Amino acid sequence: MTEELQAFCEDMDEQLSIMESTLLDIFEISIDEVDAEMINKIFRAMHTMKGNSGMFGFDNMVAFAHVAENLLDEIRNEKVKLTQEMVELFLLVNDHARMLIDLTVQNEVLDDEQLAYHNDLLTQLSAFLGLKEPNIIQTTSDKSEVDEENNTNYTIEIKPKDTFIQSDMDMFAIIKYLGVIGDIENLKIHDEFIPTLSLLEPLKSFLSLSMSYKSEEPLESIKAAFEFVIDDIELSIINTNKKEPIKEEKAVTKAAGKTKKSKTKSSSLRVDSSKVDQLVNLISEMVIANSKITQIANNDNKVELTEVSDNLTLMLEEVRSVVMDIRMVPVGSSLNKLRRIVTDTSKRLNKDIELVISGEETQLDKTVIEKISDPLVHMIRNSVDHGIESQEVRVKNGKSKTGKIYLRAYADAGVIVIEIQDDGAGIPKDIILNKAIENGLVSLEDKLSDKEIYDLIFSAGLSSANEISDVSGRGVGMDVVKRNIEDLKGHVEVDSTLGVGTKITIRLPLTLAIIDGFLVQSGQTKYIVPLEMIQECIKLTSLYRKKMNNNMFINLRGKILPLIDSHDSFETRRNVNQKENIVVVNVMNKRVGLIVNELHGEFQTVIKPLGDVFRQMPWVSGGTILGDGEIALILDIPMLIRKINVSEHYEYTN
Amino acid sequence: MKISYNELTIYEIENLHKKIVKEIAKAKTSFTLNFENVEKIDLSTLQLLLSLKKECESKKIKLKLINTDARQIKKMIKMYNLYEQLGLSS
Repeated sequence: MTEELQAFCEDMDEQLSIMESTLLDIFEISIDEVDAEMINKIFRAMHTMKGNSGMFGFDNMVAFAHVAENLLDEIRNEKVKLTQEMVELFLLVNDHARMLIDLTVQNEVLDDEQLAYHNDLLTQLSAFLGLKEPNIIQTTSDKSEVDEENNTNYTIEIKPKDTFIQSDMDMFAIIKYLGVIGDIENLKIHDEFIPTLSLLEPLKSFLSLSMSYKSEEPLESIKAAFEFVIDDIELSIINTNKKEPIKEEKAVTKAAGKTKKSKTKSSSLRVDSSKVDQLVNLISEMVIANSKITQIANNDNKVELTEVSDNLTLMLEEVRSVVMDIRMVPVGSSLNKLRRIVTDTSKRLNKDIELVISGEETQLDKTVIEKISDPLVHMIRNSVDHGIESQEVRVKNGKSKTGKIYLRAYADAGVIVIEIQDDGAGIPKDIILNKAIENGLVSLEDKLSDKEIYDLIFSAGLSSANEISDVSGRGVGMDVVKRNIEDLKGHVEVDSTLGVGTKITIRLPLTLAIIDGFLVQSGQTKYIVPLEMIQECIKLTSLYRKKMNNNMFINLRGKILPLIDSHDSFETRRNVNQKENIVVVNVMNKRVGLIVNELHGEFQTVIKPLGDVFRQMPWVSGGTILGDGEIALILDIPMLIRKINVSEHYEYTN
Repeated sequence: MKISYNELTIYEIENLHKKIVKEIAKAKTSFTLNFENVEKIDLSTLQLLLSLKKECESKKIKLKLINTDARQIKKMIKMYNLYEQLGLSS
């Protein structure tokens, strides 16, 4: 099983569990007590499952999830009332989806009995939707269908682009032609995104079309029908009775597939992250206890005890590094997973897109990576789907045919930053604003800044996309993105220029991460300065002291270097005879010198959050336990600089 | 309101949109759109009608589309299964 497929299975498992537990919650209360968030939760899970399955070309699952999602959407929009019967049906849908995924991943198909059950579930779902002809998969052994043996069932979704109507292409003629080479069933115009008359721009297309289609023609011939309009629409044709869903693993025999699966099952184990946290804390405690033993051994000059404790120290360090390894993983593998998504989606949308990844080596806590993975997928899909324009539009606008998406990860000023930047069309502010007004999120009178408008894309139920596809554009996603990031105490912001591109910046706090630190000491207290911020260290000689003339700056090779005295800032006792050093840090293009006593050198720092006691000291971003059990405070240099600036301002104004 | 155009395509749709917006502002309980003169419609017309339907629903105005008997109109509405969506009898 490929890494991507394994990640897919884990993700599906998570979504199914969310759906199941929410349904069970609903089961326990009365139907009238079910709130919108519960329905949204199930809907989002189903939507994510459909999207992910679409990425892997698991069309059976996509088609199945599509029907369930439609019903959930109707319930969400209060067009259909949720009943106990539906809740029970959704539980069955949940179980069946789990089986569908398992079978698909194992490269197997539904047997006749399972197929009958599959179709029965679809019929039940469709009945609630008021549809008479559900998207049923035909059994291969069904004798009555002999004359249709060569027919393939498709689900076709057509989303005209904004400019389709203006292009004056005749959709009617295409559909008529499809009717000639096959049978159209249940053709439907979706009007969800058509605004009311007063907001309608009549030459812009807001509608989308979908149909069930049966034809003997191969997929290519059906696609060819859209040849003349393909640049003006987004087209999705799903083969609903495809028997070989996994493209890369076609050659694998069923038996081999099974062994492979059982192997992978044992290679990955999901553990509650709190258990790892507990382990890390315990080991830290052991390091502290061990340092005490070392001290006693040294004090009492007991050679044997010293030997044992040295041994213990080495082993503890090893255990600690192994446990840290469990938690800290380079973001690379997670970012590379997105390559596949970009390749597949861009191929499907007929776009030429290059994904440029940098900073793969940046280390992040595994729980953070897991939680950030879904938001990244959503945002990358959005960039591919709506950000990057079609090749023709790009060429017309004087851009290179190949769109670029940059994905960068780096540690900066006490946070891990992940940036997704595309050189696409940018976010149309007016559309976002109009939709938000339409949905009642803001009122016409509100005067919003650009930033506030872009922030609206994170509101629940607001999609900047005008279509519903199995890739994106249901108005879910961005709210989930924001929620996941906020759960990690992170922050996300959007910046966009129409015609130039969009940049989404995610900042995640370092509290869960690992950094290369530089250990310094001031008085008796040890501090960690993030190594990346350090430019150089110099000795604060008596000559410098003299020239300072009680001012807090020095002339460093012809440039003024403002200084921060750690003793003053942290109110530690000053020892006159101690030597003094300056650590020159550079953050956000500001250069500042920090006066400390000792320079101990580089230190791999695992950040541990500090309690509320430290809330009054925002320039301390966390703490770390040193090898000898001592605690060092991690300095938040940008906050420290800000503090100095504020007090300077205070002095000026007073 | 009686539509004066024989054909409704992207060349007429903007003007028609303006006229309907003006007329519907005056409507109280119902709004009638008469297709007597119209022989041909396109996708932009269907979108406009669906949008009009939404507008009427939001304002609780009853929308009546009448004389939609031209062959091409009937064909379009039938093919896109819009009878129910537009409140027409098949």
